[in-house]
Amino acid sequence: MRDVDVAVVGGGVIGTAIAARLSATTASVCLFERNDDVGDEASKGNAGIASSYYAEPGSLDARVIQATYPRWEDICARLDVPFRRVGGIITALSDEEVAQLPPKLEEALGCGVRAEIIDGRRARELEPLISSECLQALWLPDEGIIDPMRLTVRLAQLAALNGAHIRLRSPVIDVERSGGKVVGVRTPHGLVGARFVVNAAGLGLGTISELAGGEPFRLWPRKGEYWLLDRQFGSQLRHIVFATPLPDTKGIHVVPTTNGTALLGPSAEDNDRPTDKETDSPTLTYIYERARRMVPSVSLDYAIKTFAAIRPASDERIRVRIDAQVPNLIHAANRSTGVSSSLGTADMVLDLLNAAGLGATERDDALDRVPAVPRLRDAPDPEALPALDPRYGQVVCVCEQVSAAEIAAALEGPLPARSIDAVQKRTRATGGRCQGAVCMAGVAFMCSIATGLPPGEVQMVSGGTFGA
Amino acid sequence: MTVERVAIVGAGIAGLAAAAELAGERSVTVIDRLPAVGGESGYEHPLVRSLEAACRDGDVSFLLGTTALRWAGGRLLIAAPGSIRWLEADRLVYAGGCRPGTPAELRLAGSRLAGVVSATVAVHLLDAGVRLGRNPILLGESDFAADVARRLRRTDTPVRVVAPEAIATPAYADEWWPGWHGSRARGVGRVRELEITRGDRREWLACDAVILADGIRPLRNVDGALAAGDPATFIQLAAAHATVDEVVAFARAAASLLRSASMRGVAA
Repeated sequence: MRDVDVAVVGGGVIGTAIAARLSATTASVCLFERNDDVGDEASKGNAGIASSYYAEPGSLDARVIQATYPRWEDICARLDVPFRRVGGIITALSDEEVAQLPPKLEEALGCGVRAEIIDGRRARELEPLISSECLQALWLPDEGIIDPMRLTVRLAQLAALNGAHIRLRSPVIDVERSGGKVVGVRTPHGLVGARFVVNAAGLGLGTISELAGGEPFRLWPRKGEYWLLDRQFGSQLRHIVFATPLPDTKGIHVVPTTNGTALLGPSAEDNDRPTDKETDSPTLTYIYERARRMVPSVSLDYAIKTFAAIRPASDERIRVRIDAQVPNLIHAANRSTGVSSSLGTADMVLDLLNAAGLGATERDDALDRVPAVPRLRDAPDPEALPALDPRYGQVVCVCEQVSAAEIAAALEGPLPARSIDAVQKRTRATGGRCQGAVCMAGVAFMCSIATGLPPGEVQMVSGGTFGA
Repeated sequence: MTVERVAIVGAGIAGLAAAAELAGERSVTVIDRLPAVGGESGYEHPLVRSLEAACRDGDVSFLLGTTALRWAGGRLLIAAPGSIRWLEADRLVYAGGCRPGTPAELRLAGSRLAGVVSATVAVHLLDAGVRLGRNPILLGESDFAADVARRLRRTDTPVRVVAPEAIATPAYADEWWPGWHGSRARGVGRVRELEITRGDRREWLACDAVILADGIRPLRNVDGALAAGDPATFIQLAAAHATVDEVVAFARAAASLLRSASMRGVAA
């Protein structure tokens, strides 16, 4: 393929946000993702929290989040991504935890978000599910919940609609260099020349930097496990219920999702196994016990899924900067607030690229939205949908009320789904109470028809087909 | 007095038996996702044929190829290709059958792996000629397991069964671990081994598919009629094994309960 101005390495929420931002400018851009789909690593394995603040005021983390969180309503409307600013409550259940709240309040206020320390009674008025043991709480009304998978897919689709190339199944195996600069990236499919390389490879940040002759980075996998609870519980939960972090306890939270379910988690286990996405029952039990402490009505009778995901851990929390050694290599990666910082990070990367000589200017003809696919489940007037497409009447996933029309749309269009997982990211089909017991075969057959592959060769998960 | 309108979701034996029981005295509509009656038992089943005939004689209406989505007290949102509409009804009877448990419900830890599929999915894929595995394990001993085993045998695939609550050796099992519980699936991309436990004992079994056929529970997927407390009558015999006679007896009992109940909200 032709050379591009910018090669973006990594199709997580940060990489796709950068690609989407650059695609609205005169710069040409190509994004490389090693998996079958964008958003296949940390960007899908998280609690879907769009934080309003994080860490100490004035820090880089805080600044990129501040540059992101006020924009969610607008961008999510344009990209058709579920988002709700539900607010979060940091609960303190002991004197030791209560003592943690004032510094947290200072941090939040310093970051310019609304925050208030409230007593236990007021916390329970806001969120009746909170334990009577809650002594005090920090109320953060600006915290939001978002569908992180839809967000990542939609950012990539916006980039593609604006002419960016999205290369899936394209691991970067080398970065070409000449005269102390990077000149292109190599995948098993060949070399693509690039004037600039943006390293948004998440956990792979250090590997890509090394290939590019850049700074050494040390990152390691941090595994987090979660319970997903059914709507029967999730529909009662109004706000995000956070644990007060203490030095010896992990921050297990109870989080409503945009589709009405609820998540418990995550645990945090550092290890050296980047492919280890296994859940284990002692950790899952720990998560449940910690969650139940804050929200006693949490019950595993509502559990519909457990999962584990890897997020990158490192000593340096966030990097959005030009490499110290390679002047046309930009690093963009952080630890656990990828979603929350994505939009601000993308703007900052564009500024850095321009400072380094990219010379990109805004295009007048760039799209700022992705056509919305009406959702049967959310439609205020479902009776009108079959007039748009008769397949709306053909319901494939009953738990999540996903129609054949919505699945067909996911299998077509920019960045078409090519696996059950990818269909689930775009539509939620197979992701409900029965976890695909009713519909997964049907979705597999639809994937088979769309791809021309026999059903046995349809990807069920990344790296595995239905047939053995 | 107007005749009470009853919407029955599910045209399997349970739904048909309930419909036949109520036919004549109520205005009954039976709804099913599939384009034919019979559900799990199939259209050819003699009892399905006779129950259907009884329903037709009793003026029961059928909306087949139609999915019930949402019960909003007095009306049911239904969808069929080309048409989504509300069906007015005074009562909802849900007879949508059962399903095996999900990995989380079965407390099966480990990774999300290709090859770990519900028995209901396995049946469809096997019927479409998909070779799910050369060395699969059936988790659970149930009617769902029997359905899968029958199909595996057709392709000369050995049938290995891990069943925590099994009593008698099923005829279809070539190898069999009664009293063992599947606790963890492991592999890279695709499942490669299943950890099974019994008390303190722990073993790993090599496999390339794990078919979930345990923890049989009601399939409830109509919003507004998800739990026993919701205003609907549930006719779902959630058992590992149920004979046709048991299902019919269960459905008739539920229907007569519904007939005698002056309130909504009979939970069977």
